[in-house]
Amino acid sequence: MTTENTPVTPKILREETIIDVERVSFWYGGRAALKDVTMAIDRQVITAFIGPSGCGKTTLLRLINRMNDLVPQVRMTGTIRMNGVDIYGPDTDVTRLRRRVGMVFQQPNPFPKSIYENVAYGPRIHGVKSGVFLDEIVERCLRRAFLWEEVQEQLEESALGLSLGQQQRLCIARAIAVEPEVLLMDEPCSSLDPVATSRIEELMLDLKDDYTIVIVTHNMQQAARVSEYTGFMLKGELVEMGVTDAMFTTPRDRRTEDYITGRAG
Amino acid sequence: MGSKWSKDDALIWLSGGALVLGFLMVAGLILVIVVHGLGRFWPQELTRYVMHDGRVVLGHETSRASVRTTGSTGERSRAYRLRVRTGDRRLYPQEYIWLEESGVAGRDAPREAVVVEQVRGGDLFGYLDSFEDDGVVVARGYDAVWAHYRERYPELERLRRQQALSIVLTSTDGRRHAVSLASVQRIYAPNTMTAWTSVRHYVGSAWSYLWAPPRDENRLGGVYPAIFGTAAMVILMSVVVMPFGVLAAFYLREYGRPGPFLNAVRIAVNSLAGVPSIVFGVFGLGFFVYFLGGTLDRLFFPADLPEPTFGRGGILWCSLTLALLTLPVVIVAVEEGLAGVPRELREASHALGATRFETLWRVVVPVVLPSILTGLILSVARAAGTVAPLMITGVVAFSAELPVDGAWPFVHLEREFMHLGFHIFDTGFRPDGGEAFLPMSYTSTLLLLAIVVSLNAAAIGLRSRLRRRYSVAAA
Repeated sequence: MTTENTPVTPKILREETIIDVERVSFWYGGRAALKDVTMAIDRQVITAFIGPSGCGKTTLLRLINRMNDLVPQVRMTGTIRMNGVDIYGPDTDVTRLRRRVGMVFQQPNPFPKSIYENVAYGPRIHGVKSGVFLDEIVERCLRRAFLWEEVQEQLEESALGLSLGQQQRLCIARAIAVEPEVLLMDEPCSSLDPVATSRIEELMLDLKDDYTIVIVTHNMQQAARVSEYTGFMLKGELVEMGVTDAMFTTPRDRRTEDYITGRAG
Repeated sequence: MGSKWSKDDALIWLSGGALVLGFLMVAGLILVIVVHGLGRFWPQELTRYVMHDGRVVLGHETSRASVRTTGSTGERSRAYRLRVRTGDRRLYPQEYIWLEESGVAGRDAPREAVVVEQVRGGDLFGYLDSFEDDGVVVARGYDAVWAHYRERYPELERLRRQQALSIVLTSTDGRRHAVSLASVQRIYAPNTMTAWTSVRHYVGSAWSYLWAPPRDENRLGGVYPAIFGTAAMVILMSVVVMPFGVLAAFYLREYGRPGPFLNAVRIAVNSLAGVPSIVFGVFGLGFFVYFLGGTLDRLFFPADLPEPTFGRGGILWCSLTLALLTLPVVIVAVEEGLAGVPRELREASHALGATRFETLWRVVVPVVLPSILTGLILSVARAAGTVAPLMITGVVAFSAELPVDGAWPFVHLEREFMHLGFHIFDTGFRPDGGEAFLPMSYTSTLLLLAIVVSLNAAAIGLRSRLRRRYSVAAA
């Protein structure tokens, strides 16, 4: 065991921690999805959650921007703090939280609107009315998502005409248009081909200078390629969390080792 | 043998056969309606039947029935009877008569036989005799009268107002009958028509069917007031039902908390869809006409009482009754549309910090718009074809006034009105002399069928466009 993969302790809020999750448990109806999860996520790095299907990694991700508020009959205990403030506290404005914590989904889900309107959607609902300003935001975000060159001639065409990989990059552009601090990605490449996947990965590596990225992935190679930190989850528990390289080479827990070597999961 | 005919095969042939039978029946029904409905605009040749007993009959054959007879010696034979339309009752005692085919000595198609379509009455069959101006004969004989009529035809509208002008017809038995030009709609000589004039006649008749008021108590003429009334009622109904239906669907699908209350509302909506339409009529009569209408009369029109203003059947009450009837159609269509909006789209919007209302308004509503339109079209199709509740809430067989006209306040919601569906009922089910109404009934049925089918086709088209849109999103 090396010192490198000592679990990041969330007890004391360190300077580099942006989100800390403390003793969070979560139930869908009577079924427990998360059991006493505690972790810290650092700013401007990529943190990956890995684990077999149904292990709770997506649930955990969706708790960070309170997406699970939309699901009926759920229950949660524990605390999640962002920059030290409890996001489930009574003073939290959910829409402001979601503006600061953007999300990219498993299936590319552009609105059935034009490419321009997809990116402009977020700024518009947050009160940006000036056309010039919107044009500027759209161009900046599309450039940031490596999409501008491909779509600048067809901004007024439907976003549904794009390829899946382009649609997913459009969704990333749409998410960063509201200038979030954190970008949650829920298996963003699971419906994409390898070429499109590698483009998204490049994009993620480029974006981490400005954003904290949390990615849920089935693909361990992807986690190894892009993330600094990895958390391995199993049956609702966080088994192990640490520096990615260390975890893939010398996992501390037997279950982690079984999973990453393909013996289980 | 037995093994070759398995139960599966039998079932396949049975269900296939049932399908074919059903299809043939529908096709046959539509064929009958189309043939009868469209055929009647074609000018029919007038035949003169000279009977062995000396009678002469002018008319056109509408049907031929076979009758079995047993002769005095006991041998059986088959005889035929002709049903002949002889035209307006003012010239001949009956509009339709039976002729024994064996009694017909000869028949021909006299060139000078004409049909005079009257503005209000029925069609007169006879021979042109003379053209009179205030009792003075201006032209006499078929050719002269016809030439005179053709010559003046372009200014017929103006001439109509001169009561003095009249056309004199002679009947087959030599009686003279003067028809004031004011009441002449059109005169034509079917036996001299060429193919081209027949086509022109056909188009003209079909056109006037659509745009003219009815005449001769709905036997002839057009159905314009019925089309107008149906359209006005349907528009009024849509204005009422759409906001209610759409809002109810949004509540059920988006805002309502799942639970006993929501279930009760759903059950109520579904039950509403299964209630017989006449029950809606009874409700409309009791609640809208007597209660609401009566209250309105007491409050706003006390001077006219006991003569009711709103307290009797009218287009407003019909529209409201049909709005209730079609409410489930709209709710179900919009709810289906809402259920079809992918969850991912809503989540994407929420994840960008949009509130529930912003998500609904900017993402959900544009996506369900086709569903809302589908609901509208389906409810309109349903409303256009429903008759029973209207019969007791304000539809009449004949009305001289339209619900919208030039007289203040232009829209007359309290007026009774004509309706295409009721027009069919009125013309198709007369206890006596019914066959004079039947051609009209067929044509109106065809028209209503065409309207309802095209509305449904539009709804189906919209829905498939909607589906295509989603399949792109899911690809």
